[in-house]
Amino acid sequence: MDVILRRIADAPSLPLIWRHLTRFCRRHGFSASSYYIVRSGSSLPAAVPLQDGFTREEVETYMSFDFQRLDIVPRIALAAGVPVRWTEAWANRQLTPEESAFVNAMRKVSFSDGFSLPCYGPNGRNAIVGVAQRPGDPEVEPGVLTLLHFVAQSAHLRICAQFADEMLLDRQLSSREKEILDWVARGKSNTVIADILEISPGTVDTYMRRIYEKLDVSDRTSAAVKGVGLGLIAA
Amino acid sequence: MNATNEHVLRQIEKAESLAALWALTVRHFRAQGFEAVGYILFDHGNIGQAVALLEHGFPSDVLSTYAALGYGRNDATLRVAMATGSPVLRSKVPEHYKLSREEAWHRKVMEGLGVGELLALPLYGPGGRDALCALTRAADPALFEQANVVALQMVAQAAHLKAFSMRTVEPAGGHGLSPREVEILRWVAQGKSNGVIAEILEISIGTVDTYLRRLFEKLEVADRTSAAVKGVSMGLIRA
Repeated sequence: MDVILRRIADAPSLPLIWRHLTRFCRRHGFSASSYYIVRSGSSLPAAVPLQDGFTREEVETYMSFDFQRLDIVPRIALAAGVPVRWTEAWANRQLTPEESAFVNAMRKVSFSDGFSLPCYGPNGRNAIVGVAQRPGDPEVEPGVLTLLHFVAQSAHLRICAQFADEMLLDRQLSSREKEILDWVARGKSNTVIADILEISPGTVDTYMRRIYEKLDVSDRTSAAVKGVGLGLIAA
Repeated sequence: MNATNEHVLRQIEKAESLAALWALTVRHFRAQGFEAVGYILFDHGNIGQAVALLEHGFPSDVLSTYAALGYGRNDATLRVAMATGSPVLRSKVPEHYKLSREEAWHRKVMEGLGVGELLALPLYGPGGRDALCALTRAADPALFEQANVVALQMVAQAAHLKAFSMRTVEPAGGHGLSPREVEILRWVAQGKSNGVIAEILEISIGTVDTYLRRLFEKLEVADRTSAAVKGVSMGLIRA
């Protein structure tokens, strides 16, 4: 485990991180694997899934659906914090007609079962690593799933780290900006904030523009939400 | 190949109580050479707002001062670790990141109490339940440079996730918001106006208005920004 974790930690690019992960999965009895960042309520990009070892038909069928909405297994896994077996998740749940159509379409093109491994990251940037077993793949040994889960988790954090540094450097707010953002988050208007801080509304306006710029947003609500998410202010 | 980490992952998986989980995690980190182990759990999606603190081996004056300073508020090491997702050494933070005035002061106060090198391991969980694990007081200072920090982080992450699976799961919808209300709140948090939300969801502006009034009532707020912030802090939506 230490060896693979060091390899992932030292990998300088996404393709290399991904290659280490897929090789590790193959070696431990899962000949196909996938990775995608989960679409959440935020403005984070919904990344195109990475995959290894799935057939073209499987990938095309999966992508032809709104899989982030219809595949319930990733959501269940992310809520539970543990690996979830696909067939078990489908069997234990009342499906909507749309979800059933999705599952049936997948069953037609795929003979595999597998697990969704929940991976968490900074600012709610969560991801799912899927590992699939094919007929003929070796039996999975006990303990291997846990090992895979945390290797996948470390790969996800390594991927997150590649764009996190830049964000931190750019988004440091001054203490005055934080103070103002704090009032914004409590629903105060610029005029009220000006009153509280005994400065002119024009100055508050200037501060607000600078905050928007630093946080890369264009309105006060997004600024407040982002400030909370980045740990700049308390909710 | 070091089998210790895999062994402790299996132990974590089998732990039957929070107390046993904490004890075996501390034992593992001590065996790796760290005399002091700390764990700060944050409020939903709200880093810096500590809701629980577990520790082993920290001097009491360090703990009480850290608490008095607001548990990690203005702790730059914590901020950098939580934002990057990578293990962070306390000594490296000022070299790479700009510290605010308050952060520089926080650092000085803690150093005055003898806080030295420290390894901060960011941990993340379901519904924005994030935490920080701190390892310090190494038997050998070289450990900070030589340790497989990601392996340490993954052991802590495993224990963090295990702690969740042990707690009683909060019932879905326990916050009293319908899925549609959560959906609308999500758009509000992205700065969308009622008109835009109405367009996105293909409903009338009046309906959006009604939803929002109900949302404000349930969240006990009077404006959309406070509603969005509260939604984040309750873990209903992500920042």
